[in-house]
Amino acid sequence: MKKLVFSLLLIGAIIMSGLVGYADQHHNETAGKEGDLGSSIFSLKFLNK
Amino acid sequence: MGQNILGNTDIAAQLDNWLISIRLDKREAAATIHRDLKSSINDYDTHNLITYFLVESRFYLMNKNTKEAAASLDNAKKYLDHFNDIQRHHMHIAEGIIFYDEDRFQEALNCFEKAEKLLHLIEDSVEIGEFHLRKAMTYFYLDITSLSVLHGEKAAEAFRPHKTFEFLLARTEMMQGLNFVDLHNYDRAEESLHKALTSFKNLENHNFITSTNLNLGVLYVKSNLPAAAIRYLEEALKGNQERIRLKILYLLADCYWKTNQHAKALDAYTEGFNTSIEKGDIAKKWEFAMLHKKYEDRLNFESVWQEGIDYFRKINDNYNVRRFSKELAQYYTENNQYEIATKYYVLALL
Repeated sequence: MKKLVFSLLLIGAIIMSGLVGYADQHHNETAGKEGDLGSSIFSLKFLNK
Repeated sequence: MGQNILGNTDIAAQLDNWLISIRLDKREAAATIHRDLKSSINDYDTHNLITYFLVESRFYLMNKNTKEAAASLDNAKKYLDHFNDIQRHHMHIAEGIIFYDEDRFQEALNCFEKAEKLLHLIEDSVEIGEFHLRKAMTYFYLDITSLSVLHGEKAAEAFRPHKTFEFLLARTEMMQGLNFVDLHNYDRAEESLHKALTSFKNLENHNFITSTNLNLGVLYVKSNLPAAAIRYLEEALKGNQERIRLKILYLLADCYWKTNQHAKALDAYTEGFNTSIEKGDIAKKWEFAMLHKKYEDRLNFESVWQEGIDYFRKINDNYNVRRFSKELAQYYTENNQYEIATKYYVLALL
């Protein structure tokens, strides 16, 4: 019984979070990702001419 | 001294030279041209004046002076009614770069989307590739992986045919490697990151060698190979790049704990936690605190993780909300606490 309630709650949660997630996608200001891409200022000094 | 006798055609040629110096990262030459051009701006026609301020914004960005870059853009915008479409495109890109560098990724994306509407006017394939790479990088940090991969592929298409753009192609491959990590495609991630590492070594670009070592560390952490990750993370730490040191220390501490190297883990944690406090980096402080509770202070694990997740919700860092909520939800599920587990599964799906 507990597992059934849990499953129903989880399904409801997935549906709700889908809606919330879509709405929130456009307000996501920061993302503390573990990796690094460097700056978006590029220079071409490394062109290996 | 300024050359006030320059005609508008000469000024346009000098502005071109200035932009080339900036793109080639010839800082001294760019600074000299800047001084010359600045002394004669009263003689410019409107078109050249707009170009001057747009290039000046880029010049300040190259020198990591975001405040002056924004001021130059504001000066350019005083003539907004006189902008042609290419100048408008460059203005949106410059605005996007400033937002990106301030970690304001949604606003950066809005600017790049405006610039994209005018991208068809640009003929230079490097410029087109750079545009797609910037947009892909922004999507990466917004955690919209599929669109990041798509724009990354467009950037690679622009750079790939030209051996001379190896640096930009390597940056693209490094980003795609991290995208493949997010997609759990670890084989492709490994291939892309190692390709990028080889290129950066060829180009002797030490900053990006360090970044790629960190990113390989991320790959091996995510694929549950902490011993392999340590090798790259220790290498990354030797690169002495202050900007990403906390990220490296965090992953190293995690890997040392996972491989039962407690003393080393505590050293990395202590340095990272203290430095994040000194720098006022509250998000990183929470990450380190939560890591410590996971391995060393289990009594306070639940409360600190709950508070940490609340903090990341408050600052709209949805990536970290998802990351930590998923782990906490799994913990509660394993302990048969289904109701509270559900709460965190909801957050994990944000």
